[in-house]
Amino acid sequence: MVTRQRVGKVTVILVTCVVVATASERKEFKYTVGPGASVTINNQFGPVSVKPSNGNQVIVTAILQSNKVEIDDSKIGDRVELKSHLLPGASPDNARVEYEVLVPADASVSIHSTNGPLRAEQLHGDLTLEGDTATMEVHDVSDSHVHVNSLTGPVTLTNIHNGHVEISSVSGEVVLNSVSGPLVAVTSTRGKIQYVGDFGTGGEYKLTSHTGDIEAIIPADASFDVIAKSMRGDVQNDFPLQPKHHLTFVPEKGRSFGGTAGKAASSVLLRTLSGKIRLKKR
Amino acid sequence: MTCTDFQNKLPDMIDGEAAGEHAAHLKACALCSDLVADLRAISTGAKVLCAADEPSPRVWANIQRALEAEGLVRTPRQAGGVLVPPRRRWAPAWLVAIAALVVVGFGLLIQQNRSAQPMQGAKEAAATTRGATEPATSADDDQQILAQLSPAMRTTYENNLKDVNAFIRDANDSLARNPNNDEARHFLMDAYQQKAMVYELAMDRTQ
Repeated sequence: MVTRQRVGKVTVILVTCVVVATASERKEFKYTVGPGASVTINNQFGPVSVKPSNGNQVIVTAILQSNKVEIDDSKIGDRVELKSHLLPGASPDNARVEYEVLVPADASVSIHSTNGPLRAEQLHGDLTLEGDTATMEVHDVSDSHVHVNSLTGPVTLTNIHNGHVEISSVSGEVVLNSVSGPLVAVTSTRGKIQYVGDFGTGGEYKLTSHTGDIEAIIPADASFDVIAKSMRGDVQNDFPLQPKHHLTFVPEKGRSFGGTAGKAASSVLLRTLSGKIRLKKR
Repeated sequence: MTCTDFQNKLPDMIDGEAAGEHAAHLKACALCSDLVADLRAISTGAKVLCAADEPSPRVWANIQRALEAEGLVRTPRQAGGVLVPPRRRWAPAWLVAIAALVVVGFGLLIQQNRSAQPMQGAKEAAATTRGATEPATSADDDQQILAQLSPAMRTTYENNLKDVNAFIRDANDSLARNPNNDEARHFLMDAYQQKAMVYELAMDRTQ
């Protein structure tokens, strides 16, 4: 009888320990910052989502998957930094932290996670997103520098206006929907690059890949001049372009083309080493 | 006897005493007298130098090889080397003296060359290493970066490094085929930037 009671107690204690060890924990951090604050979130594993806050507060809600991870936070002046700090025994599963971050809309934000996903929306400060396999999404952002570095994770930017956009991805697909600004540059090694939009009203657009295909889908009323070159892949143009008066290269059928649309407000360069390029009318 | 007649016989009298009409000319001609005095001084000095810094046969051989390599001399038909010509009948001491001075000068050159050789050799070796093992160095860097990553991340980075390395190789090949092609140059720059980005991300993960 006594033995049974002891076994029961030990079981209860063990179960409690396991529950405590695996239980998630929610933490909240609040900071008051000035205009143009800087917020950095370094999350080894798990998502980070950033949205605008009301007023001048940075509010971070973090859900820690287990006690194998803790959060180091600091605020120096208007610079706020939070970092997931892995403890012994941490793994991608138990060290996962979910961050939801509210920042003043003009804050400069930098978010990092290996597996993400990473999201940022409705901001107009500078944005930096970095991830390995993380899916990355940025939408409804204006007047910002948007820098994205990705290995394999897909990157999607939607409704970015007056942006200075630079994306580097090794093998993830990059999709730009209604992205415009003074500079939009995408480099990909293997991933496909898709641009859907009108190339704005006076920017420079450079889409480059090694083997990844490049596709641009453009409305009929867009205004741009374009040069498209594939050193070893095919190029295809379904958009009614006017021939350029002065081309700096001799177009090679099936490998390159150039031309203008409308008043040629923006400059577009599409180039790939061995991928395919397609320019399509929407 | 004229000075020319006297100087034609000069080699035979450097180590000995002049006699007869030669002795008379030597006494009478200040020019020839000074010349003989100078040559005797050189000869004496050369003997001292030769005794103090007798170069080894290896030095002679090196000098000969250097001169041959420069095209300054041709390989002698007979043994002995150009710098050790076969003894001529008259073998004047003053020629030996001059040869000794030349030897000392070359000895110094050889010494300088020898001291410079390790540095030059190292430079050449380094250049050879760089040229021959550039890809290996890059691969080493990749391995070093990968070794610092957790096993869970390593595969992702390994695959991505393979991709960007292929990009670099491909861009390099294109540039090699079209050295004046700006596009190819841009591709190469883009490829390296991609690799830099991968390294940067990897290094962030190892902190």
